[in-house]
Amino acid sequence: MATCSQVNTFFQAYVDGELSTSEDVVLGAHLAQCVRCRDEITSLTEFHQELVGACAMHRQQGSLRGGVLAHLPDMEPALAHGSHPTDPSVLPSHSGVRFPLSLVAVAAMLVMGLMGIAFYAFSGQVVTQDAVGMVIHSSGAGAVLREAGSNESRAATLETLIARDDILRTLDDGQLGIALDRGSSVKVNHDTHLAVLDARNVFVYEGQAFFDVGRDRAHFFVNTPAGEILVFGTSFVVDVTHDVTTVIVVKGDVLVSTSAGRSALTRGKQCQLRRGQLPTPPEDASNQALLAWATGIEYEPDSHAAALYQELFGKDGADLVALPAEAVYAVRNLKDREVGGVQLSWESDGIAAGHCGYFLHVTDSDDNLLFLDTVPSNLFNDRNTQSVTFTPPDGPFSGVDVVHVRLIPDYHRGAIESAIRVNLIVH
Amino acid sequence: MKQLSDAALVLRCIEGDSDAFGEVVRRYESAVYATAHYYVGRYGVAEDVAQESFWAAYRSLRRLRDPNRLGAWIREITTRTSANWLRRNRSRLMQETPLPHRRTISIEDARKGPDVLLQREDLYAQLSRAIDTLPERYRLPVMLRYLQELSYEEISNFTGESRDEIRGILHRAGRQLREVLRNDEDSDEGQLSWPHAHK
Repeated sequence: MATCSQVNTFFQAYVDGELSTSEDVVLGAHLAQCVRCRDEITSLTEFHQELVGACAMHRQQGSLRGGVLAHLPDMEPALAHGSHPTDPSVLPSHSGVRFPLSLVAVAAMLVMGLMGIAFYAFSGQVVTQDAVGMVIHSSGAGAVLREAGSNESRAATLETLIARDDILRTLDDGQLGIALDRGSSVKVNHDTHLAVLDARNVFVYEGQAFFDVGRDRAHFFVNTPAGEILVFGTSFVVDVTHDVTTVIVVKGDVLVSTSAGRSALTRGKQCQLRRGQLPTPPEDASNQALLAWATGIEYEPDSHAAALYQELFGKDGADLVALPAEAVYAVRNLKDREVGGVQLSWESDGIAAGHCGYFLHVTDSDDNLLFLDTVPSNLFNDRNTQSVTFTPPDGPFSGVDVVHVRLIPDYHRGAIESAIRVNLIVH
Repeated sequence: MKQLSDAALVLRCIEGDSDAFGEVVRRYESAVYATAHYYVGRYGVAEDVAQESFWAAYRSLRRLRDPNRLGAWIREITTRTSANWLRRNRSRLMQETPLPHRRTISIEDARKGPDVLLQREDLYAQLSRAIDTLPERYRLPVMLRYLQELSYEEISNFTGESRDEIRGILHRAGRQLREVLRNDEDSDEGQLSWPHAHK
């Protein structure tokens, strides 16, 4: 019979009516024997019903269909291939980097031209518009790829294009190298199972993967069954074995988190993530075996695959242009005093929704990490809140002349921005 | 209209079949409404913004690069339409008190009596605050699940996250919501403070 901790992950899906038949059987067998889990399921079901009941008054009443169809506007003409898919008239105006439309148009034409050359030069390759990466190295038994929503697998060989939500599984002694859009790459060891959710988000179910993340303006997430790894342009190894994830940072900094809490990891450190538990304290990376396999995979910069990747993904910067630059502040600690934290302050715009959150990245002038944190978007919703202080988890630090504070906006969930000022809290 | 794929619907819309766009609205209106409600529900304009989002989507439909990702594309447009509404009305909103969300009381609800309604409204306010404490990428899936009771598949189509990832998100979010609401119940003040440094 499955143990309580094994079936625990089924509970929410059970209450939501989303368990697969086999999971249902496993859970049913367990519940027949376990009073504690039966009670837990009952309590969860009641909680769920309460929340759904509380939302009932705010639920949509009636269909929008008639109203929408009664006033349909004219459809605008298609844009040239390579342009941003969304309507510019609904794009919010950011206060960050802006490019004149004429420049964007010229850039789009250039990209189109280059893409055209690429299609011509590599006419044997069928390019799908949602490709987010490509296999640039394959060895041993190779790997199989399953497309999202499909039950059939096919071989993932050199130059196979990878789309969003594709699932890859390396075989026996098979190893893969994957280049992703926007400059990131993933080396995948044998017997590894992962899903490429998009060019900046990979889910590793099991096995080992080495990530080299492109340093652009967006963040990169790696999820595993045990937790989440948030990356700020770096290299690191993830080893997922059952419910334990080991993370080793080779270069740069990462923020690892589980549902219980989080921790920052710097170069040369490792830690372990377990579901529902705090990440283990960072320690010196000792398990070199976890790195050795990755150094064995080498990309050939002059190969046909590398050239094809470069042509398909290397020159299209449209998505980068669409995002405003991260904000970087350099704050001088004039008298070299002890720094107890970083204070962010802003003037509320009085609007109670629609703001984006930020990732906070604090380093010294040599880019050595002092600490990481996140600034939740709901802080900006409250007109009475106009400042917040972040303190280093290991207490105050000293001996730093200039503190660099980087704020990386998360535009997944909002867009309204407030001008933010940065101060150091010194003692 | 038989169950067509999103890509087939987009093609029909572009060919001028307005019934096909009616099907797009039927397929995504719950999700679009929940997204608009998340951003502008407290100002009582969720339905207006949802409608505006569909018009914006229809206008730009020929610009959609990947018709298989129609849902995620409409979600982006809804987020931006909501953000634009907030920006356009900024000066007016600054003069107003931004809470509470608009209530819609059905006959069934009305029959339950004022006490039950009041309890539910309190719980809804607590839930809204609890959702704000969740990590950013958990919030919309939670709104879609609890407000409109969408399935994991529907949430996945709309957010662009895989179904497995949605399952994981709702599992972790459910746990955190229970914890936050339990703490909220224990608190005399009934106000949630922002939990620092917990993602």
